[in-house]
Amino acid sequence: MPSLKAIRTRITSVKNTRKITKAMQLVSTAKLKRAQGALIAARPYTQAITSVVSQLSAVAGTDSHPLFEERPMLKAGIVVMSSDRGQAGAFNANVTKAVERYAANELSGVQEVSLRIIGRKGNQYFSRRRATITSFDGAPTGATALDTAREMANRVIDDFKAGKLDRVFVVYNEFKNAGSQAVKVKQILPVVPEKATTATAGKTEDENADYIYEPDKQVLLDRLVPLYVQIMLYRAALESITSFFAAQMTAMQNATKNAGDMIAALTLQFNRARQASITKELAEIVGGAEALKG
Amino acid sequence: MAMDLNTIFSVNVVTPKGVIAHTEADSVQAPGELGEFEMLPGHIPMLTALKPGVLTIGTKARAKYAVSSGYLRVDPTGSVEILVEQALPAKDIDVEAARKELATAEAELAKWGDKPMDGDYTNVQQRAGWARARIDTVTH
Repeated sequence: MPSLKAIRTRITSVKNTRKITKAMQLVSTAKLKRAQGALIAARPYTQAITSVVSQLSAVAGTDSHPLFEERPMLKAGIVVMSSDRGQAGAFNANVTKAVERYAANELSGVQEVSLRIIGRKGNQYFSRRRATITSFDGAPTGATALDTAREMANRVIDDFKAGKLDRVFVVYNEFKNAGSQAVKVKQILPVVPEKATTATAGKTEDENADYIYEPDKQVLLDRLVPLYVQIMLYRAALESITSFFAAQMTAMQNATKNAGDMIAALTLQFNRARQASITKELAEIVGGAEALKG
Repeated sequence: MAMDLNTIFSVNVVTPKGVIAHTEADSVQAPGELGEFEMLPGHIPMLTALKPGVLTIGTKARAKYAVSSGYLRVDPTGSVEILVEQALPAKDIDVEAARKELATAEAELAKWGDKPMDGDYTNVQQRAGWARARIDTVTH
């Protein structure tokens, strides 16, 4: 049985841990709110660019742009969205597992699967397993997510145009609510424009046909399809950031609760030990007094 | 003098970070793919590509923004939607930071040499373009 002093030290230390996990929980809650705000703020832009790209592809035809081209899939690329830090439960494990599962099942017939990794945790995992890693970037924050998405978009677009990749996917944690996140695999290249009927609902074909396109449809597609790819990656990055804070919040909530349980158990142990030592001392005193009576 | 309904139109500037301007204006000057152009009320429906540069909304009360690439669309009702990947009001621009970014990017482009002009090259070019747009917005 540990000494009273040892138990007391232990309690103090667990109490300190609980303070830290509690603080981290509050921080991730605040950051989660901000990240959710960024997701909502991106919606009008996403809707607008989606509807314009589908409008353009409808009037110009889906074979009108190199980024729409469906090729036999020989080489596939996966953009992996992980985080730089842990302490977020199974957040990173879910992504890395999903990537491996997808590569083993859906991409089993593909000659070559290469990864472009965002986030240190994903990089650590796949470097250890000697996967083909084309590039690695640190995990984005809300402020840098747009830049990360732009640079990643330009790189995969170039890979696709140069024939280095025939298909590109992104794997990320999608935010459902604070309690649940689900890993998603989404194809980003070739771009599959949404059907004009759903994207431009309410607008008739005639209205679309009446537009003047400047300089022409081709140049517009050249400029706007990359923006569409970028926004898909941006949204994936934001979903990933939001999910990360949600996962961290849950993990820290559990850690705080566990620390509380531990403190209760230790306090019980401490009291029992104290009681035992008192009983022992009393017994000794009584024993001593009996002996003196002789 | 009757007020013509067509002397103003609504302008919406949308970026991935949110709607940054939603206002009524009598004109818009935008950096088109083929050069700077001015748009007045009553324009027919149009979709045009924008390149990084200066966006000015209104002639009397002028609001200036640095914008990166995107599009300007006039819908059949005459309202204007400007969608750009980045936009920054003139007052929020840090010119010194932009100058430094431009110098760094230009130096990188200058020593690119025989390296393949891949996605990373596009990235540096776009960084330079965005820095130039911000400098122009403040200095012009």
